[in-house]
Amino acid sequence: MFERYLILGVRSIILALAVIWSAFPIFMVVSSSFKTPIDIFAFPPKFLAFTPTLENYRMLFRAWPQFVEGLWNSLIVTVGATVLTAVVSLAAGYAYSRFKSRWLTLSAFSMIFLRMLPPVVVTIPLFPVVNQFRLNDTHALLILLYAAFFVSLSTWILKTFIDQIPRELEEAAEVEGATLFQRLTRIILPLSVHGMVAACVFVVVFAWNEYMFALIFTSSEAKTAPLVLAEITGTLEGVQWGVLFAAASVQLAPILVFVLIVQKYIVIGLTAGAVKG
Amino acid sequence: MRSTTRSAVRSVAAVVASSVVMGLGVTPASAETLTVVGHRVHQTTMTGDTGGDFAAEWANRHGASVEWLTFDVAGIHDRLYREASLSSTAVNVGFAANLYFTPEFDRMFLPLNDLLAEHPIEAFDELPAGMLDAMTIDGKLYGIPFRHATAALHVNTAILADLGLEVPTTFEEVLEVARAATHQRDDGASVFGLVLDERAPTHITDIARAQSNGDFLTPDFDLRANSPEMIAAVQTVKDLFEEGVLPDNFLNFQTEDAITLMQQGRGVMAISPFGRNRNFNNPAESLFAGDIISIPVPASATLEGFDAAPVRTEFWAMFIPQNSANHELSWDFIRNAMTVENTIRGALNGNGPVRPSAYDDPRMAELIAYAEAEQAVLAVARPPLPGWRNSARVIDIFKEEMDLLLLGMKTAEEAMQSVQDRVTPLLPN
Repeated sequence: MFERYLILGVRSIILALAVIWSAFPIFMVVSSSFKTPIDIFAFPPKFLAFTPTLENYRMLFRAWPQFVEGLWNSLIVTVGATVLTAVVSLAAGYAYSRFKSRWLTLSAFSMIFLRMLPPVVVTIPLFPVVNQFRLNDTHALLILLYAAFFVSLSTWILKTFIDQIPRELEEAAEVEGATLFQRLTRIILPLSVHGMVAACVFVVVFAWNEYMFALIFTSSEAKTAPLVLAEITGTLEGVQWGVLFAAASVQLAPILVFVLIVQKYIVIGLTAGAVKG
Repeated sequence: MRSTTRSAVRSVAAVVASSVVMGLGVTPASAETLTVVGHRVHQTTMTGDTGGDFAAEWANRHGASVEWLTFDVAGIHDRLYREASLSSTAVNVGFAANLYFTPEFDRMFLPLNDLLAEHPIEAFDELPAGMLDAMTIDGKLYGIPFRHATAALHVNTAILADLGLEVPTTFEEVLEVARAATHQRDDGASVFGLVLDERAPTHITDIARAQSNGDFLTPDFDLRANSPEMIAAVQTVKDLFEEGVLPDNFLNFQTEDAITLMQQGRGVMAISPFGRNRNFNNPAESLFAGDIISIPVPASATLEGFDAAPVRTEFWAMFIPQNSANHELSWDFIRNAMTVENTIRGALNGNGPVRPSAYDDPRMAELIAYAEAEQAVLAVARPPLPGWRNSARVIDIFKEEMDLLLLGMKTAEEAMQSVQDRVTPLLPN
């Protein structure tokens, strides 16, 4: 009995430490966004004993209108990249799952190989090409880039899911006259939605927070929120920490809510195919 | 089966295409748009409220518009160099800091001598010769200095008064006061007598110049890391660190830390650009707003010919990429930003004006308490390092050796000799 309680206690402590380790920085950022600049770095630190203020948020939206534009751009790029990745990955995952050939296997492993390259290796040589095609500073370019980097992972996740869908279901539909597109959208898609969501989570989190591609390939029209965040760190007044924390909180909120909503799919997606039954 | 496959491919292609098209629709800049790459600070100084938006006034006169592409410091140079290396670019004017100005600029940026001769900048002779020299390669001028940041000594007079200490007038007194002012507050917080922004050669050179007008690297690339002046300077920093006069996290210190310490009253004095006076005295952020004065860094009593130490001044200049269109319009934008009146207006918007006469304007004196002091320092200050391809690597090497010194793993002589040996091969031939 004692041993059981001991194990439970140790587990609880480890869990609590892990939660604190993960959540404390978020707590600091969010709580600091409601502090006056003087309170943010007060000594001794004021974790809870401070008078909350919305001034940092007022200042953010008044002095940094481009942050709102950046959020909008981030949203367009994130949705676009996610949709594109989902569509391409579903089609590719289906092909890799249902058809067998040497070339398909080669292309599947090529995708993994390309994914292993550091993004910067691909990025810099792309700049003159992108410039030549006048794709610089467009949402479309970021959508394509982000999707390109996640199609491989998403394809493999979806392939694993589609592998588990009985072929008989498709064959029955085919006998009834269903086209390939109908089988893909009415049978494969609904049955692999967990994998689709799991794959999309990775794209959403990456596209929403990505900095390097956006820095290199955007200027003003498609400038995303992380770039504006970086700019807030250097103004005439030095770093406006309160404003920065407010911006970071606004940037963080949607992705946090999204991940909390779909977290169960992440687990399902990551463990798919782990146990064959 | 072939038809169904084709229809599936068509459908997928349609969805993919619509996803991509959803992101299109960006209108390319019009011919009348002047695109400027810089920091938001540059934009603010040309478009601020106090001095007015003289960039917009210029644009209205020309029926043009100014598009600002602003990035953080590294991003500015990255974007500017990349754009300037293409066959053509939409960027018309770019800002670059003096340390980033390298001999390779002659391949990417337009020499401005002809434009200057044809359409001169008002009172051009007034611009500091040292800054112009630093922007010149083989007699060709590539950049027009616009904004400077020159080091000052910021002193928290309230803490000094509490401790019964006087504002120092020589560099020896700076060190004495820093030592005397280092203490522990009643709430347990450590108060540091002196704060330096970081341990880079750009900043340590301030100490060498205040003590003995020493230099780490001269404009003609004479490396003096192992000179007695530099060894004495790093030894001073080491002593201050060991005695707890410098912050205990100095090995990992950045400008933002220096600002925070001064605002919280945990730093008594700081060697930092004059412009920081605004931060230190900002009532919304500082516990000592109004108590922190900014004065020239006093020179050593033994340094003849200097009241104010010849500390570092770093500056930003404007450049025109060779591969850009409409060079005349770009040049006119630069000329407009550099008129005597607009230099003052920019200063009122928060800029460090490169024209010494700007400090004589009564509007400046009224708004900026340290205007006279900054003018005095600007007369003797000089850039800490020349810019060249390897300057960033050299700064890293210097920091590494400073860390070994501060951690007690090397003596000042050993650390600086090592810097000398490691940096020598990196110098231009």
